[in-house]
Amino acid sequence: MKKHISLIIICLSFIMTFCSCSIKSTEGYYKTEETKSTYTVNVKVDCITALSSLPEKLKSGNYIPENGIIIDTAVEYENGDTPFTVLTKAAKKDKIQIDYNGEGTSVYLRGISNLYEFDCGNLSGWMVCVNGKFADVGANCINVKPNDTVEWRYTCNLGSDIGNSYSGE
Amino acid sequence: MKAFSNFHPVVIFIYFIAVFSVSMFIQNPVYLFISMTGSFLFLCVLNTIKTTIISFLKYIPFTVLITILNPLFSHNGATPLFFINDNAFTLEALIYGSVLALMILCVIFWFKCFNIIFNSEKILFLFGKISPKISLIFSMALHFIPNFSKYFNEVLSVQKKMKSNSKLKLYINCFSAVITHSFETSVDTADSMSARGHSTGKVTNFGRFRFKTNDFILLISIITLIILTYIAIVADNTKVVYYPVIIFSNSGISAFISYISFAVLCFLPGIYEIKEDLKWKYSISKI
Repeated sequence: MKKHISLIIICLSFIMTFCSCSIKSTEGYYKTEETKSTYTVNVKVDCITALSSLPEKLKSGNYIPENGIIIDTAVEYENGDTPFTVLTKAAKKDKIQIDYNGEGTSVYLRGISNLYEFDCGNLSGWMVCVNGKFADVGANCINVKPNDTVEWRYTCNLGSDIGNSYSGE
Repeated sequence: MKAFSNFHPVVIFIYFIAVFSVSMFIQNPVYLFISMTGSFLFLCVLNTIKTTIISFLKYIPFTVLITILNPLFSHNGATPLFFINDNAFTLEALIYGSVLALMILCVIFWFKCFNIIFNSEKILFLFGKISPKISLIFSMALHFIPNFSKYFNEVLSVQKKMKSNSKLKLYINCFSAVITHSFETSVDTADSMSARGHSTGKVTNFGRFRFKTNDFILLISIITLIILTYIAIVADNTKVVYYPVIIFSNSGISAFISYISFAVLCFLPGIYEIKEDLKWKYSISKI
């Protein structure tokens, strides 16, 4: 009987974790919802700096457009939107792959459209700026306002090539 | 039964380095599959077929776990199958996970073979000249683990016959008994070693291995095979790119030669063992 109890507990925990995950099919995930809000937020994703040193894996296939602008769209604004949630909405809308680690305020964006951090050298990665101002906190820690412009830009040199040079402490 | 272990330790060591260097670092499923079948055959000959299959089946849940865990943490890849918590579960990550699992299985199986073939005597012989003390300690430490488990099983089989309240208590008793025993034997070993004059002079070692013509032939063939294998690998002819889409490049005859030579390298010990085995049986039946 003791053996059975431990088995049941293991099964239950598996079922619990399974239920807590929301599993969607590809069509279900990319399905666009109807607009409810009148306000919008502009989202731009570009990787102009990466174009000269694009990794071998991205040269074939249509992941990176020739002008380097991956997303340029407007998404509807919801209360409490952050640069990160805005990006996920835009990526959903344009069917662009994104990859991130973490949950909540500790979200870290690793790649957009298969262009990952460290793909163009050790100092490369994605950075976010709202209305031209780079945030010095996580992408999920600041809120955006309606009609803001959220720009996700790829850097190859820790931000200095896109106007956000890192100055030590 | 272990004809392959009669070769010179240096040659055997080079053979295992050659096989490990490909199966550990090259993420190409063709090499891994060849390597896996080779190690499986070798282990079948070294042990029995039944025990090998059982140990293979034991590792299946482990490989499935690795295969599923990789796409849960890596969302890279162009073809999403479905989305878990708004994260893509991609086909490429799944395939990459299965290749990783195969690689780990491969290395485990080759190490099983390595353990059977490469005993402490060979380790002492190989590294004894470079650093006698470390190799002595290493071989004693390696000897300790199987000795410990053997003695533990002996004590357990006796204790099981006696009355015991709980299983946990039984195991704890056995464990403490075996620990005490091993302390005692280690003191004995130290006494015995000092009585025989350890640490009074320089440590030398004796190996009964001679470098014969057979060893030379095997060494030359291993080196040619591994060079033939690496020609295509270095030239990126057998490279597999997993992300964002799987690109499997098998360009030209050099890749084919590479696969064939690696297959010969992997199946060499197994076939050699079978050959020697048949020879032995045939000579018996003649008498």
